Amino acid sequence: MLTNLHLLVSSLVLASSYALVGIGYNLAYSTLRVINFAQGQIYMLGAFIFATLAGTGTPLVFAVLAGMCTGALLGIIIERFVITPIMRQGFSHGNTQAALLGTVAAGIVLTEVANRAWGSKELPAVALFGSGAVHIGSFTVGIDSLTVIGGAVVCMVAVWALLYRTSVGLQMRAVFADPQVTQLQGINFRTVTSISFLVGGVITALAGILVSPLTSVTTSSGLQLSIQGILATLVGGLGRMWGVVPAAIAIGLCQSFVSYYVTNQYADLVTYAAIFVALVAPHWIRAARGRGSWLPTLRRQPATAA
Amino acid sequence: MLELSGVVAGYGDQMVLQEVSVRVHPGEAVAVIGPNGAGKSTMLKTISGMLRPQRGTVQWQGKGIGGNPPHRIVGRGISHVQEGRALFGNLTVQENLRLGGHLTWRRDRGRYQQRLLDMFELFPTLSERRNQRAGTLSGGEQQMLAIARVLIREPELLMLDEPSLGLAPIVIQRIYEVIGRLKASGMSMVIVEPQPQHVLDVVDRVVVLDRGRVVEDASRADFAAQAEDLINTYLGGRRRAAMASSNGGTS
Repeated sequence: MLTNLHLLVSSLVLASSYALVGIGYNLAYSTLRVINFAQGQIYMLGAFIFATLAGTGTPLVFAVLAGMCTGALLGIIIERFVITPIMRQGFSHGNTQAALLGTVAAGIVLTEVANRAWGSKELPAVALFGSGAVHIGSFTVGIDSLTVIGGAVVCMVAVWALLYRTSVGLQMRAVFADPQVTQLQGINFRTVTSISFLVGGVITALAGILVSPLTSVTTSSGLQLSIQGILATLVGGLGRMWGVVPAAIAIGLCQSFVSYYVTNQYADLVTYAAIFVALVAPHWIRAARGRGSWLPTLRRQPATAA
Repeated sequence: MLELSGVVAGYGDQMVLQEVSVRVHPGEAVAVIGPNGAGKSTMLKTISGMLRPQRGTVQWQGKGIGGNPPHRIVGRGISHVQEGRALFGNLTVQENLRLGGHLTWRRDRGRYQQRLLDMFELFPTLSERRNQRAGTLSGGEQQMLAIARVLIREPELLMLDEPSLGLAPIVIQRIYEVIGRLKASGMSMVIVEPQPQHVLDVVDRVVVLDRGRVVEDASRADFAAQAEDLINTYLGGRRRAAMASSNGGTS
């Protein structure tokens, strides 16, 4: 029982980072319909700026703010200088692909910049609220874990409040639904888009700041988290802001429980295989139905019997 | 005054509007009619900034607005109700109105509240359904919401693209009653319709577009005098008959 509770906490820690990065993906995707593949690098750089400043004795509040500002700035730079110049020529399939590749390139550049600045060393762990633990009976949970989970919940509530309780949030939801019609209401689409990327960058950088004391963050972590974040987003539904939360929890649970109960070595393999099946299986079923194979026959049997 | 001079505009390499020149004077209501593909909607999109004119000028109150982004053109007092209403279906009636009136809300919240009440008075059904999602409204209610969403910001020029599209006759009558009241209040209007029957009662002038060109620009009285001829020539009558006879001849 205790083991399972510990596994649950570690699952939620993983899920928190995936969910926050996924929300960052969705905020960016919903405006310009482009996946920002540099989101993982924003996570990594947010964590590095925070840890480096905290390591030099900067008060933690300022270090956190600096990490978040880095995320905001990178979000806007990628939107203004990588995605928008391409998408301004039209929301065509070709332009979307070009912009997507542009974000991959931006991610590579950011990784290289981080490599030059920090080398390949692991980030020193800086805990936001100390390294104590909370004891509930015989169950012990680290404060850093609770910080990650609590921070993620606070971030999600803040994003929800922004979207559903503010004027700019209403404009963002309008842009998510139809950018062109939004412009015909006198709303500046570019400003709203920049705000979306800014918020996405802040949320992603904050995920890096929260998680860095618990997991080893290196300059190559950005790419890894980009993949995990995008998988959570795809499973939850690209553009479905809150679909990413249950998807992230499912992925976190899968990784933690498989690594403990099955094998640590194959935890990622099993998780990615499960994600692959979750993403592809509906298409297989649809295709099989279209070909009239055994799948529709199986589905029709109960109806025939009835 | 709105003035289009020699406007050429279209999509990609295909130019739909060919040297279109049209004027709309203050307080004037102009109907733009023509067959499908004539360029009626393209003309409105070019005025509202959704399309950039390749050649020619679009002037509003003496200043060039051709190629300005749509939000800036809205800020100058031109509002466009698109064909098919183009509402935010997942947002409520009130949220749609709030987006439409966002410029008024930003300038003067008291004025926005007053305009909201005005809209609910103009279309009482919207008041009853203020918390309902726009996508769940009937076609007529959606058209009312689309019109209210632009009226709330008190435009100087209102452009309506096929306001009668897909609506029951009684609803069309209601919509045109409101349009008539707006015209009487002195608002400038451009109304696009494929056929002239609904729109003739409320406009001062009729512009007929065919294959991207203005083929007739007449006062309502002049248009009415030669309506049958124009309709037969440009809006399907004679052309359909000619096509039918030509098909009959070849087969």
